[in-house]
Amino acid sequence: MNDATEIGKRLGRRFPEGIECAPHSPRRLYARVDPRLLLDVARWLLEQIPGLRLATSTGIDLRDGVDVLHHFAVNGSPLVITIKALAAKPGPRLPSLAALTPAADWIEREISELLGVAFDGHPDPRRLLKARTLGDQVLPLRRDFDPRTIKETTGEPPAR
Amino acid sequence: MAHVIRIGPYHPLQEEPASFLLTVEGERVIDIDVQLGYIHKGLERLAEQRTYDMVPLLLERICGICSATHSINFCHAVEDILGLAVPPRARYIRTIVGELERIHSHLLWVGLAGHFIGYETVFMWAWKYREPVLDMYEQLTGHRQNSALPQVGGVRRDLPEQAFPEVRRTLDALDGQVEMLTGAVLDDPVLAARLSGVGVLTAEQALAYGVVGPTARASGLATDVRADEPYAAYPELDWKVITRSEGDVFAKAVVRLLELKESIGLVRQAMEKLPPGPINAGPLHVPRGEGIGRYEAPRGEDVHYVRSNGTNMPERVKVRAPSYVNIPSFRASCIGQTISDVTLTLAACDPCYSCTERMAVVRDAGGGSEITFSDLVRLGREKTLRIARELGRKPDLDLEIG
Amino acid sequence: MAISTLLLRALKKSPWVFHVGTSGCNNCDIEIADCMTPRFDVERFGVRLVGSPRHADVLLLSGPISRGCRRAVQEAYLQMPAPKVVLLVGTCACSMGIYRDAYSVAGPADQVILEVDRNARLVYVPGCPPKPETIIAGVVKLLEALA
Repeated sequence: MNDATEIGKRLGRRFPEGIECAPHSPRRLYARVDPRLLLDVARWLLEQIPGLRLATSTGIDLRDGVDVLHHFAVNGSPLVITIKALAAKPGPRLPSLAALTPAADWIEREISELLGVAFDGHPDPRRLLKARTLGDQVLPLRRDFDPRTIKETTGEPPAR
Repeated sequence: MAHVIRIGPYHPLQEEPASFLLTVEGERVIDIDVQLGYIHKGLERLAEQRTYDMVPLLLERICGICSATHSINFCHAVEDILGLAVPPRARYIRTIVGELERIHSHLLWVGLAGHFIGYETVFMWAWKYREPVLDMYEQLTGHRQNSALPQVGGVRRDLPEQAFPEVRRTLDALDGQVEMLTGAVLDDPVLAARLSGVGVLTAEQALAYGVVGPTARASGLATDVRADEPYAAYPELDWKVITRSEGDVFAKAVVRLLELKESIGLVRQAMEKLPPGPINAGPLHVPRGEGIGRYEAPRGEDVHYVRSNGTNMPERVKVRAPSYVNIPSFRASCIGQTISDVTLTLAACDPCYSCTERMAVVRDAGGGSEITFSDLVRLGREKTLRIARELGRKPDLDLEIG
Repeated sequence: MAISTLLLRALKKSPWVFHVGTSGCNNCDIEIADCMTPRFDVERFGVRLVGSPRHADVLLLSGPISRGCRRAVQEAYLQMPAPKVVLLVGTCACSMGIYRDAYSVAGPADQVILEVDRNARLVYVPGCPPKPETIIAGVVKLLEALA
């Protein structure tokens, strides 16, 4: 059960619609998932594959939305399963995986502040990495972001 | 009544500034929150503005300890897009560089762990023995930490084989020193009593938080990318994955100390077996596609995701360093601990720090009383002293914090 | 002899250093800590890392100044008693290095300090990272230049 093709087939049987599997090699599986199915697919993977953990997630800004890729690694195996879901613009949002696994907590906060994706159901959607002096509308990993346009809210320098 | 204690952002525990907010009830910690962002620079965006040849040099500077980690791992991710097999000599060179890095990183950690519980001798010894490792690194690569060797498809430069006899002599000496250090730490009843049962992370919690590296291996999860997804020369060398089932700080120390021995053996074997031949695959064109690289950094699994659009610059580079998943597990391992154990538990994850003394203001939320981080470290040291007295030993402890 | 010269002479005897790792990659910070360990051991010469800027003569900055920590650095500088010196260790602290174009870097370290003190004394030790020998040489040159 540690082969990408095999897991791709099982995923296809369990979710006949809304999922498109593309095994890249025996070690890497990429699956495009309908955002409405995202939680179900993630839950199914975590239940079915022992030793599965969320390694990290990637957000990529595209023209039509923000592509969010959840990379799952399996302890003791070379397999990495990536499920992709597109958060459509404007106002990109996706369901949060943080309720399923605490490993999703930080990375969803990061994607949310750097790319402006709202994660529905995240228990703690506060700022994580971005400087507190930058506004919420500064989204540095968006394609149209220009660092020269940054206006900081630093206030006065500290008094002597 | 609950109080909130703030540690940081500048404190001697971590290199990167970060704030820890401890909610305490009496002596016991009931909640912990981590605030980051003091060090965020936006490297992922910078990587999108560099060519594939330049990115490894940039990523080398993500972390001063894991410099080879990130540059080699970026190469893994791009080689995953290309489906490329790296020439054997390059694989061995990457192994040597990676393992030397693991040795100096683990020695650094052992020293710092000693520092936090008041064993200054352990700190000074471990850092003294770390110096020859950096010397070896410099002899082989020309730099103490940033080798600039990894390149997509192989390595940039060959290792100077005339330096090997000297490096072997240094490794032999290091072997004895590490053995002595391991014995001194593991056979000390005070240390065993002080570290056992502190900051326990169970196997279930470890899996849920997705922790990696020694932090996971000390909780009984046999996860090591070098074995799970063999890369470089690891499948051809003789070594073993070290695991412990206790999940406490002592188990984490044991795992790291025993790994030191394995790493020294790996460097020696890789130098012995270093095959002749080319050191890189020559100029490459990276086609459209996406790839995931994995690498076992000293602190655990490092993950890089690279998406290519067919130009000479990557479209997206995502870096996930091991501490990023190890630090959130503090919620599981610190809650229920006493304040005197928190510094130790935080340090046990080896959250990418160095040991410079820094300012820390610990504020009691209820009143205006203010104590420094030094007081927090002192609490940790006093507990060591108490345990030592109970065991009828007189340790040479330094209760004064510089 | 002017009192300020006397104070500087006193500082030269045993400079106490407060280290702020601003937002670098750790590498400089580890080399700085290395200066304290047995091989280099700068404590022999009275150089000491201290836990609070209020006790320090030298503010040591390593790494570029990120937007997140800029204010903390300025505050640490202002809390130090005069006379005081700023030692910038590493290429990033000196000139922002490879982080020059990064969106989250607030500016070169010297500018951030000059913002709060036009007359700050700054010493630059470039290198990525500078070896401990280089850092020690930087401190020696700093002391020679003082008084």
